[in-house]
Amino acid sequence: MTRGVGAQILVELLPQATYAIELEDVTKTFGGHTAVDALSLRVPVGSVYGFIGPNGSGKTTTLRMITRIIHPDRGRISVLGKQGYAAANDRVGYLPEERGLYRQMKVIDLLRFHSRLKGHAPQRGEIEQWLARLQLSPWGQQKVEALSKGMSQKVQFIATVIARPQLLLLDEPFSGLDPINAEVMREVLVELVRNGTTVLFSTHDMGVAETLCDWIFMIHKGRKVLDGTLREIQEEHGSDVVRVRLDWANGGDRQLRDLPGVARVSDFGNLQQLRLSAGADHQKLLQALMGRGRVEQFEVARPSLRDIFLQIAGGDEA
Amino acid sequence: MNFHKTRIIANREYSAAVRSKSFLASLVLFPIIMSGGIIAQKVGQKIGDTTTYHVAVMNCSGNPSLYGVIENAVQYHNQHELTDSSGRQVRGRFVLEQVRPVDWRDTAELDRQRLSLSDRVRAGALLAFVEIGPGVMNPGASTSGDAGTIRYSTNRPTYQDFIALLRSALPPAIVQQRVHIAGAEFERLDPLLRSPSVLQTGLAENSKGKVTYQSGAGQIVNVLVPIILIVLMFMVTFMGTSPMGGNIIEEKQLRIAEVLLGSVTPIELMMGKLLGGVGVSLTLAVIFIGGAYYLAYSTGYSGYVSKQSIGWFFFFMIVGTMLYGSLFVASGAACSTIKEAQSFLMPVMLLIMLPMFMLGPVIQNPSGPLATALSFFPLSAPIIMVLRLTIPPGVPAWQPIASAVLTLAATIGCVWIAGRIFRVGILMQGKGANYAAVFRWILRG
Repeated sequence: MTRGVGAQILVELLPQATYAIELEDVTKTFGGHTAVDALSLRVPVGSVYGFIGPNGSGKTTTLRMITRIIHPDRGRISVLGKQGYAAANDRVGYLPEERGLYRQMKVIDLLRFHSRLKGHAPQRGEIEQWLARLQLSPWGQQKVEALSKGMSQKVQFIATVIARPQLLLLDEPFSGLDPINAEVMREVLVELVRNGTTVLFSTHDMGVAETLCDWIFMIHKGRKVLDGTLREIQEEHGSDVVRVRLDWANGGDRQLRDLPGVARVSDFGNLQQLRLSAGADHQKLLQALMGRGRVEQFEVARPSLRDIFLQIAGGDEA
Repeated sequence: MNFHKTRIIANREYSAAVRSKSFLASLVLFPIIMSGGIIAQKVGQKIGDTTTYHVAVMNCSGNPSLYGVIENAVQYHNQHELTDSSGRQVRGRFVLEQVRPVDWRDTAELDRQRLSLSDRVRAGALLAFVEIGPGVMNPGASTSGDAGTIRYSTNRPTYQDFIALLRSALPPAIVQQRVHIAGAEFERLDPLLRSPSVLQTGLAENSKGKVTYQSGAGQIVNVLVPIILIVLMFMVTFMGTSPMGGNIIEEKQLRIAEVLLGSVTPIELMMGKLLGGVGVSLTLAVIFIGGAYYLAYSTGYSGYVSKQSIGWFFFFMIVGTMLYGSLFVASGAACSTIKEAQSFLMPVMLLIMLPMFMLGPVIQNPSGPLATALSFFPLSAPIIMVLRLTIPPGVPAWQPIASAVLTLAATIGCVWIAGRIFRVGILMQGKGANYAAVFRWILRG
C-alpha cells in the first residue's frame, strides 16, 4: 500500500528538515523472523501520527528502532534530522508499552531523575504542576509501589513529557486508563502538539486514532499497508457502507447478500450494515430494499478505520 | 558517552544502595564479624559456665599418687578458678571418679572397660575418661602400644578446660617422680631440664640512642592488619558488586531498562551502575578504614600500616569493584530470571572468592611463587597484592605497579566485554541466553 495521493503530494513538497522522523527501507530481523520489512515512513514535524497494526505486526520494534534502543539490520533512520544516536535523544520522549518505574523511589524523585536524564533541570514547582495537572498531587511524596496501575501510567507519562520533547513516541499510551484519565492525557497531548511537539503513537483503539491523528499508518506482518490521512485511507479502501433498518413485521426476505452491489453483510440484529462493491448504485440498492420490506433507516457512510483494519488484518487480533 | 547521564544513573544506584537494609546491616555486621572472637569470649564470660563435669580416671600406672596429683589439681580448680573477680561462677566444676584399673595385658578386659566408659560419655554421664598407662613411670622399659601414654577420651574435643588442667598437672608430676625413682635430686635437675625458649621479635631499632625491638603485641598486629584489610577488601567489593546482577534482572522484568534506554545508551546505563557500585564500596571502605585508623591511632598502632599501602588498598578496591561488577552486570544482562542467573552468577562468585581460599599458603609465604603469581592474576590481585603489601617486609616497588597495570587492563577488557553483552541482553525477554549465545554477542555485538 502506498501513501494517499494528497498526502503524497504534501509530503513531496515539504523540505526534508520538516520531517521529525524518516525511515527508508528499514528492515529488522530476529533470528529467522522478519519483524520489520523494508519499511519507509516520513512523519512531518508538528503532526500527530497514529501507528496501528495487529499484535506482533512490528509496531514496537519500529518504535524501538526510532528511539535507537535497537538498530536496524538495513535501511536508514533519521530522527529530528539527525542519524547519530545521542544527537536527537534528549529531544525525544519515549513511553514504552510496558510501564517500568523504580518501585522504591518517591514519585517526585523519580520524575526529577527522568527529567535530568533528558538534560532538563526542573524548575521550582514544575514537577508539582505536572502532578496537579494529572491529578496526582497527593501522591508526590509516596513511593511508586503505593500507586495504582493507572496512577503509575500517568507518572510514566509525566516522566516522558516533562522535558518538553520535540518528538514524542508513545506505545499504547491510553491502554488500561479509565475514560476520565484518558481524557486528561489526551488534553495534555493536544497542548504539546499545539506547542510544536510531533507525536507518533501506536494504538489499538481505532476511535482514538480517528479523532486524534492527522495521519494514520498501519503495519501488518512487518510491512506498511496504510499511510495517509483518514480521509485518504477511507477513499482508497472504502467502498461505501450502508446501514439499513427494515421493518420485518410483515415478513419479507431477510437475506440481503444477494441485493445488487452488496459485497458483504454484517447483521447486528436490528441493524444491518452492507459493504458495497466498487461502483455500486445506492439508489438501485434502496429500490431493491423497499421491495423486501418497509425501510426505516438508510444511511450511506464511509467505512470506519476499524472496518478497514479488519479488512486488511483479516482474522488477526485487532 | 555522556558522562553527565552516567553520573545521574550512578547517583541513583548509589542512593538506592546506601538506603538498602543490606547496606545498613553490613555497616553493623563487619565490625562484629571482625571482633567476633573477642566479643564471643566476653559474652561467654558473661554467660558463665555452672556445669559440673564428671571425669573418670583409670590409673594403670601402679603409682596411686598420680590419681592424687589430678585430684589436687581438680580441688585447686574448684576452689580458686571457678569464679571471676565479682565472685560469679564462670567455669565448670570438675568431679573425679576413680575407676578400677585393669591389667593392661588383658586386652579383652581393657577393651570392655574402654567401651563401657565410652558409653557413659556418650550418654552424658561423663565429660571424658583418662587412662594412665602402665609404662608412664618407666619410659625406658619396652612397653607395648600406648602403655607409656596418658589417654584422654571425650566426645567434646573443643572443651579444653580439663585437658589443660591435666596437661599442666600430671606430666610434670610424673617427670618429678621418675627423677626421684632414679635416685636423683629433682630440685637440682629441674633448672637443667627446662627447655630454652625461642623468642620471635621484630628487627632491632635505634630509638633515641637505645636499641629496641617490636613488642609481642606489635608482632600480632603485623599479622592481624593484613587479614583485616583483605577481609574488608572482600566485603566492600562484594557489597558494591554482588547486588548488580539481581538488580539488572529486576529492571529487565519490570521493564525499567527499556524506559531508561529511551534516555541513555546501554553503555551509559552500565557504566552508571558500575560507578554506583564503586561509590558504595568506597563509602564502606572510608567508614571502616577511617574508623580502624582512628582506633589504631588512639592505641598507638597507626604506624603498622603505611599510607602507601592504604593508597594501594583504595586503588585495588576501585579497580576490583569495576572488574567484579562487570562480571555481575554481564551475568544479569544475559538472564531473564534470578533462577537462570544462578548458572552465570555462581562461577562469578567462585572467581571472586578464589583468593580467599588461597589465604593460608599466601600468608605462610607471602613472597613465594604461589603468592606472587596470584598477586598478578587480575581476579585475585586486588586481594592478594594488598595482602602481600601489608605483610612485612612487603614487596618490591615494581610489583604493585605491574600488578595494577595488569589488573587495570583486564578491567578495561572485562568492562568492554560486559558492555557487548549488556547492550544486547538488557532488552532480551523470555528465555535467557546460553553461553554460546553470550559468546556470539561478544563477537558480534
